[in-house]
Amino acid sequence: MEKVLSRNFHHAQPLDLATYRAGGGYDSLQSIFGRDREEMVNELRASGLRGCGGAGFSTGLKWSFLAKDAPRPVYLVINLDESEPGSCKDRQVLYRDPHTIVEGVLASAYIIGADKAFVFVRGEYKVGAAKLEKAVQEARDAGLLGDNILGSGFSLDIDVHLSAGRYICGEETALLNALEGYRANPRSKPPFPAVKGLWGQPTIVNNMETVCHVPSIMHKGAQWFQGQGQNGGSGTHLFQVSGPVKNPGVFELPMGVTARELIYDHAGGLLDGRKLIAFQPGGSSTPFMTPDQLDTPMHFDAVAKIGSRLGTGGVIIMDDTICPLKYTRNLIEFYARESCGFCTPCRDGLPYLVHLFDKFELGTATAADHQTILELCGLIGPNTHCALAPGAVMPVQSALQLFDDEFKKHIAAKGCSYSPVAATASQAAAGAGVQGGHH
Amino acid sequence: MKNLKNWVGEITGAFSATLKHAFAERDTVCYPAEKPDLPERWRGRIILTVTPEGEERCVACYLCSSVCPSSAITIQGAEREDDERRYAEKFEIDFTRCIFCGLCEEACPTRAIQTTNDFEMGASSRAELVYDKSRLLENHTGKYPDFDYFKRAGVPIRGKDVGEGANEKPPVDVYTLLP
Amino acid sequence: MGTLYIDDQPVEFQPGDNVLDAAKRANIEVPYFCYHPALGAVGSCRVCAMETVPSREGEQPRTVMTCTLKAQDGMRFRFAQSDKAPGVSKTMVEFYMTRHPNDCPVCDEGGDCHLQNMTVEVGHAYRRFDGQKKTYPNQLLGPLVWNTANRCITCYRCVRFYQDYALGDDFGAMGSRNNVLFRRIDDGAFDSPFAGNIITVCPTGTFTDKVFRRKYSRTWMLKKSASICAHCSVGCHVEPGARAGTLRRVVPNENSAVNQYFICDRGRYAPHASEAANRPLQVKVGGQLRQEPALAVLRQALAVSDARWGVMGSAREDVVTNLVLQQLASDLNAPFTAFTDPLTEVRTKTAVNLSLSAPSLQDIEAADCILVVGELTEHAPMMELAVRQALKQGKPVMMLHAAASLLAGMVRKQRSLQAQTQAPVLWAETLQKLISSLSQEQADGWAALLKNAKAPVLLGVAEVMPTAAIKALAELAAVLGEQARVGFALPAANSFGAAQVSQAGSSEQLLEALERGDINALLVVGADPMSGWQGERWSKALAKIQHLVVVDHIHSATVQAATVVVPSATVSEHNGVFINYEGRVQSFAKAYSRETQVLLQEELIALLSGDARARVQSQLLSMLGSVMPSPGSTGSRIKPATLPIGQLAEAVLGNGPALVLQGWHGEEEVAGFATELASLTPHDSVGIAPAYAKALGLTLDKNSRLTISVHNKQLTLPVSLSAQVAEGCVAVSRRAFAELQARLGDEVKLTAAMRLSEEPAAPSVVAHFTPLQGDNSNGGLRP
Repeated sequence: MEKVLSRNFHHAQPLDLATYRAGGGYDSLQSIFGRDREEMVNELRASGLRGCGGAGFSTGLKWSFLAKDAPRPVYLVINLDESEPGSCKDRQVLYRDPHTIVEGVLASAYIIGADKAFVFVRGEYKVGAAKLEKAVQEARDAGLLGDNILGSGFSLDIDVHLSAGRYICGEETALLNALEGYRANPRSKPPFPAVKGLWGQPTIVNNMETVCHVPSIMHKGAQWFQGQGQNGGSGTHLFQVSGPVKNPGVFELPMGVTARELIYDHAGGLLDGRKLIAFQPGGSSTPFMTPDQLDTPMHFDAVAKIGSRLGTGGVIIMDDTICPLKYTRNLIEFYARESCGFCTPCRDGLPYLVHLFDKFELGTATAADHQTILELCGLIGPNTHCALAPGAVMPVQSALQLFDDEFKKHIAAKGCSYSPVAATASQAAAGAGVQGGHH
Repeated sequence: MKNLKNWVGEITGAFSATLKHAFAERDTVCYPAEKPDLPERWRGRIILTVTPEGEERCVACYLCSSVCPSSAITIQGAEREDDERRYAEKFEIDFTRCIFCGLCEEACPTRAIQTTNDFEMGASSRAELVYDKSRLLENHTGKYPDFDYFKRAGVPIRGKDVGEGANEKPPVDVYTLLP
Repeated sequence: MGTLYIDDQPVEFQPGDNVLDAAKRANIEVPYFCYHPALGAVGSCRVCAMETVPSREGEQPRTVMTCTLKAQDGMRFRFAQSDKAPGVSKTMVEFYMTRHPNDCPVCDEGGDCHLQNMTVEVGHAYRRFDGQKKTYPNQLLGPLVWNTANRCITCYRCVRFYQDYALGDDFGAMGSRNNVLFRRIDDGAFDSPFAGNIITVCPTGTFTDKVFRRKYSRTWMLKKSASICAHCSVGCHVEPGARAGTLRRVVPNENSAVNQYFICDRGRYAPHASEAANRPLQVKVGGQLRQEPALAVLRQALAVSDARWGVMGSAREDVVTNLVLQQLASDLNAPFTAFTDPLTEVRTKTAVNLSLSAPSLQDIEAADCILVVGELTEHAPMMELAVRQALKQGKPVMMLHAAASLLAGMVRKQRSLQAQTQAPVLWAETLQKLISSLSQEQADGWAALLKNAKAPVLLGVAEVMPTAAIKALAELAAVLGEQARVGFALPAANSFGAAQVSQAGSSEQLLEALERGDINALLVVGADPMSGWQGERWSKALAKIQHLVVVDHIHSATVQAATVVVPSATVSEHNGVFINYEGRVQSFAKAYSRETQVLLQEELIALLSGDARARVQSQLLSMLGSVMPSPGSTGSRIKPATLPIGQLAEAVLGNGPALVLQGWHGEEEVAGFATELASLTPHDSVGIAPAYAKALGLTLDKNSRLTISVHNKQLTLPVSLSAQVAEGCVAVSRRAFAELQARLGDEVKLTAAMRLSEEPAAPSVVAHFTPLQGDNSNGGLRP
């Protein structure tokens, strides 16, 4: 497997333009400029590239929705609002190799024929956005952005926009509203952004990682990209592992690598004395997977087949020192706080679920409450305005299935019986703290 | 002979029944020396009650006047100047119309209007039977010693600001950006 | 057009309908909150759920929100027969109830509350949520709107009305998740003239009518009727609600032809003038209150010997009243007028003559190009709201004005060159130039926009436009062709009707007759000549006469000067007919009777003989086209014959600054007596453009004051610097005009006066109106 996105991570500082190009950067443009756009979109479809922002929608298919005679201007919007708990991949590329992003944006914009590109960066990544802006300026100075790029007749400029908002800005239509200066409430779909997006114009919104794959696909071909993957997956992906593992971090691996390999070989396995209870394969809005599913290839279709979602590929580990209900409550509280407040089930239903989980914690829960959680998840999920709340209830529904006896224990014992003492004891014995993000 | 036996039997039966009842315990209550023993839920004279703290309970919600089948109740509501607490500026019950059905007590959400066991309401003119608030309001909690509606409502009144109710959280801070 | 199926029942729908619209047409009770026919569907409440019926193999039924789904032929849904959809609606209401306070007994909305209705409809009855309720701080929003934020169910209707429909920007949604609150940026009264409508659209008791709150009654106990607003010439349909002989509230009455779903704040709050503490409610003869019935006293007063009568009707009294008074005048051989000011009479009649193609509010909304002459917001707010609908769709709106106006600010925001200030005396010339440039090949600017329009609408404010300008605007419409429509906002609710019954120059003739001494007695019904544009002339003339009989329901200056005062009924208290600016005849019905006897205007006909009465009836029917519209109906438009007008000299362009009227949207003769509304009257100031002040050699800032001198009168006022005041003009309020005894267009002298050293700066005239007094101000005219 060839490293694509993380090929420059070993450098101490992000590369400047000259060094980046010396390493083969922007070479892909030769395989893109001047080529037929429809043909390139077909190549992209054939490559099997799927969106890396969580939904996993075929990128080529999404781009084919853009009408040939779409009214100008057409916009490309890059979603770098990485707020999903468990996801930290985009940050790596942003902070360590921003030119990869610029190249990806330039390539994608050419293929869809965009007139302007916006990179919507999460507000907390202020420093990274500055690095990206620096890279964009370098590109402008070198004639790689602006009018008539490299004499191709194609013009593009990139606007790096720092978000002022929260998690919901990661939802594509809420992102568009935020860019336009409105409250970041998602819009009703239809109309889809490809038809009516930013300022009513045709817009393609993609996750940063997705567009970063595009140059290499166009340069080396769909076949090559498929070969990069394993077990039915295509291409590489930046997987992340967080939680009580020896070596948490971001790993570029073939799409389709098994969860076992990811967690035990690359992330070093769980800390000493810890047992794997369950894990979420793609960020906190995905259903749990269990240890007997560790051999599942980590690509969209395989994970969907066993009932979960690959999402962003950000694996979160649940070990035996954390009460599964506490864990789930933590997640649902996050989503309740991050609701935009537009539709009722998310705004008022998620806090209701938090309250019910609190009852389990405090020991005042009853069997009726257990039933209510199940019922509410079924009523919240399909009836919302956007995908935040359905994502929020996925771990809850999955916890209800997997940890049903844990819920019953909490009711019977009138409280939580996981003891933190056992956890600290095993930590002290292992002697290792939890290191942060890099590998 | 048989007829004679019957005749004697009937007469003695009648006499013995009379005698039995002559010395049996009376059911008659010698009113007004004795008062009847009425159950707590007996629907007698209507009163207005106060909260355990001594504040009027009636908030002039108009539910009793609307449910009253004989339109006996007339209300005009108002607010206390200093804290917007609702009360009945005018509360009249026309007892010549009242049928003592108790629907008003059932309808009242604040347990203000209640029926009592009092029935001694005789008057010598119809006008006297139209009670205004001064004759209706009594300074006790009636049958419900613990209930105070405003502790459960969301509106702010003197002594209970927004968010200080029995089951309320403190008010949100509009201007914070913190989650 | 098409058919869809709900529970296998065919339901017809119109083009553009969503599924919820279609269901409502078929009288299927689908619960909803955030949907509103005027505000559209946004899909935020998630209550209007129905279950789809799978049409393809393997497709699962799913719940959909019907308000965001466009109706298409052949769609199938399950609603009452569904076991999923009702559970969804019920759960959404349950979610609302987790934080909705237990306020119903003390909530104004109780009994008339959409949330209550929907909760019962979806069947949510028992509370299983046992957590604590979130609470929210309330905000003081001025004297007209009361806020109780706990009750909000976050349906976003208020902000969709205020921002999206009415283009306001000082009120909006704040916060996120279940901390969302709808508030103004600062505490205080709203800027928008339509803010009261958030009370109408709010489905809960979050925003309630503060004036109604002070005299509350449950709405099912109110006496209601279908009435017409009496406070401007648009004639919106309203529903007054009264109890125990007093007016409690006024709400919009939905109708498709005029105002649809909303009314302005003037129409909502001005009727409370009927409850002013100083309202005449008893007959007064020679300063003494009398117990006699009003009609008897009136008859007596009119029978006094050696009186040579004049009769004055009013443009704010209805058609029947004016016809009766005209007939009475004829019987008494008296001069009659329904106007107090000759200039207003000429301008009104000129405008009425040219209103044959007047656009309705719907026509204005549908226009693709609008030209407004005059400060429309301040004279006919609902007409201007219709203009805003076209403006926000990006249709070009051009405005020619002399004083500050809310619409001017909005037009400038869209396209800065499309609102132009100019002294009114120059408007006719500008319009003529526009007419001639239309015929040119290369029309540019405004002419180009008008030329390219397929449905242009021209609107003027008759009271402030010189006659020549009114005629020029109509000529412009004629030149633009048949598709162009021209309409004028007239000064009062029944100006159109009043114009029909007055002879040419009637007000000038009556005034002259008084001044000459030809008449020594005047019967005034519903008018206040001593406070109008010719106030000082009338005051001087009326001081001489012996019999001034005034029939009115406000404590006006004329009522105060009267020898006999007869209390009359307000619009909610009697039946009558108004004709609005389009010539639309609309009936209003009496909602209630006052406890003390006031004269109902329809009783005036008893003053006439039998023949005279018959003549009035036939005149009425011939004017209306022989069909009296029923109250609440959309009425019919009449196209009367051209009125003779007569000549009147108008102000000409001078060298010095000319006075123009600075109106505000809550202003009207009766509205001035509605205390809560009147408390929002802007502080008096003299509006002047900074550039013009400079040209005059005045150095002004927000602490300056100017003395205005005209006709031997002087008035010193704080300065309000505003670029919306035309060059060559200074703008002052009606009250200032009255104090200066000046008329529109009068030339004045300006001198700098002592600065405001300690006092706070005067707010600009197009400002956040700061209430002058608190909510507990006592009744009466503002000083």
